[in-house]
Amino acid sequence: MSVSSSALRWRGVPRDAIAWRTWEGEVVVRNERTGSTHLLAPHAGRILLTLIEADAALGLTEIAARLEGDLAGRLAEQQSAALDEVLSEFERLGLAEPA
Amino acid sequence: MSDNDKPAPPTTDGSPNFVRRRALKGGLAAGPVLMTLVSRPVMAGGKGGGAQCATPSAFCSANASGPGGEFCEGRTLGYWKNHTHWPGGYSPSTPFNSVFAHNTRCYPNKTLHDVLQLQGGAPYDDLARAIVAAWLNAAQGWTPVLSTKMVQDIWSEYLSMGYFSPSAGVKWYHDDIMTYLASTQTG
Repeated sequence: MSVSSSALRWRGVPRDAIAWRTWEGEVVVRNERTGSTHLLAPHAGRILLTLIEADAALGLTEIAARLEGDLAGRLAEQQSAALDEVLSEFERLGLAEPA
Repeated sequence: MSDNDKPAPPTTDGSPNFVRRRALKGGLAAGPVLMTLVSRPVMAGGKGGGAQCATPSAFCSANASGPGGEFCEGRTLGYWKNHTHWPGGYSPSTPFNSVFAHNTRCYPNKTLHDVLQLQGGAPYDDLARAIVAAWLNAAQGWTPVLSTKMVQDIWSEYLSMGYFSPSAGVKWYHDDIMTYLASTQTG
């Protein structure tokens, strides 16, 4: 069954579609396409910024590799389930989508 | 807001503000989105906000009474085909006939995911896969006007009668049901 989102590649919305501000790890992002503003948890904020700064769509392994330090380690321990949850939520919010 | 800056280094001064934020962060145990401010008028019908929707009975007279006050955020079957985290303890391998009424013609040996994968051209097939997506949306809580039981009832009645009756004297046939279910999805 080929439904695992771990096989998907993800890209963030274009830079000009959102505006964001970060402080103390948290990210507030306004999605100009939906008009909504979201306060992201630190790990979700870093994942979103990783997608936005990437030149191409990324797989889960590539996203995890680009995350630095402790966060990457914790993601690995949880077998990418946390990444999967974040990306699914981003898709629902229109912040990222499968490529 | 447009400064799109780099993350600032965290402060550790023990101030009440820092303590509050540290409690909010909670590492990976916290959900990815801590809070959302929704601007309904801007995004009606778009991702992340929801489309105005109505119960089946209210939908019958929607043109006369104007849009309802509920917002749905249901996803299409394409979304559910590609996501493994299904609500309510169900999974793509859950048998279709453990959730929905069936007869010998309609998917007795298929899983919910099998039905989502149907091509949609044959009789029943396109409605069946739309029903599964609607049921998952309801289970996820994305369609406040449509419960899982209501979705099951729509399928059951359509299967036995060839139509669904949302209110007395009204019959929804295939296209009507498809139109209604689409109204609960945002894309």
